[in-house]
Amino acid sequence: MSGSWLEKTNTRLIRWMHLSCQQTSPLISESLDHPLTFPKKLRLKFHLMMCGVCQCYLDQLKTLGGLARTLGKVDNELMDNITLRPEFKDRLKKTMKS
Amino acid sequence: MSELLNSEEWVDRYGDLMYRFALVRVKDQDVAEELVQITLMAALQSRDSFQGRSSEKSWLFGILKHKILDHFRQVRQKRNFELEPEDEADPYENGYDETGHWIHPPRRWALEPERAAENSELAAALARCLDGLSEKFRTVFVMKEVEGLDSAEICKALDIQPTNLWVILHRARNQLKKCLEGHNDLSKR
Repeated sequence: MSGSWLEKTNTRLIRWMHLSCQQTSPLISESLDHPLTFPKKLRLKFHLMMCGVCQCYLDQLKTLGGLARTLGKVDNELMDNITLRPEFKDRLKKTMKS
Repeated sequence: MSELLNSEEWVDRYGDLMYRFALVRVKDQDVAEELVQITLMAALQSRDSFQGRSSEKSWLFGILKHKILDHFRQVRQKRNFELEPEDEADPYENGYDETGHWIHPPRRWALEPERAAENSELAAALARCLDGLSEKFRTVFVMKEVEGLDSAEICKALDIQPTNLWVILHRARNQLKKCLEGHNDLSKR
């Protein structure tokens, strides 16, 4: 009897822990935005331990975040060719002087 | 401490940098110019309060950041940032089979997350991809990932529910991921 109770509990636990990739991908994105609740975190970790594909998706989103931060830096050299219009600069200098 | 500031040189010294900084965040060239102008005018008016605890450059960019955030709040007053049916869908919405597995599993990118900051060409490609997003999705993504604001701060500024924020960010990331996917630097290993 106790064996079957244990089996049932185990099955229920595994079923609860199991997430599909479709359920996991929004959770991966969410995990980058705020600390997940303990149950969500547990289920996500469980899935990522077994699923290399979702781990790869997580890495891709992290890379995307890294690129966005590079883009946001003050000394962003990526767009050196983009400058204020000379006439706008002149106007602004005059406005600041007056 | 105001003698530390040389406001006559601000436009030549920081104007282009500030413009680029603003343009990445707001997309519209006229708005970015306006942000540079109101920042420098505000700095000029408050130059006596400059304590010299940070550099002139950090001080000016600090003011610019505030002005950009104010701009986002103003945009919020004109439009709704909650998720609506007409908003962009998740491009991978139908990317799973009936058991919830990926139909086309993501392939490992040649660029690891910890090296992302070194690849300026890809960051420039991301800037182009960002312009393909709707204003709503772009603003939310920029506030989170470019500006590095925390979720609670974004929800407050744009008056949206956290669950909507997560959905918007998830869809925006997937749109950008898809847009970047064909880039050579990500596929060569």
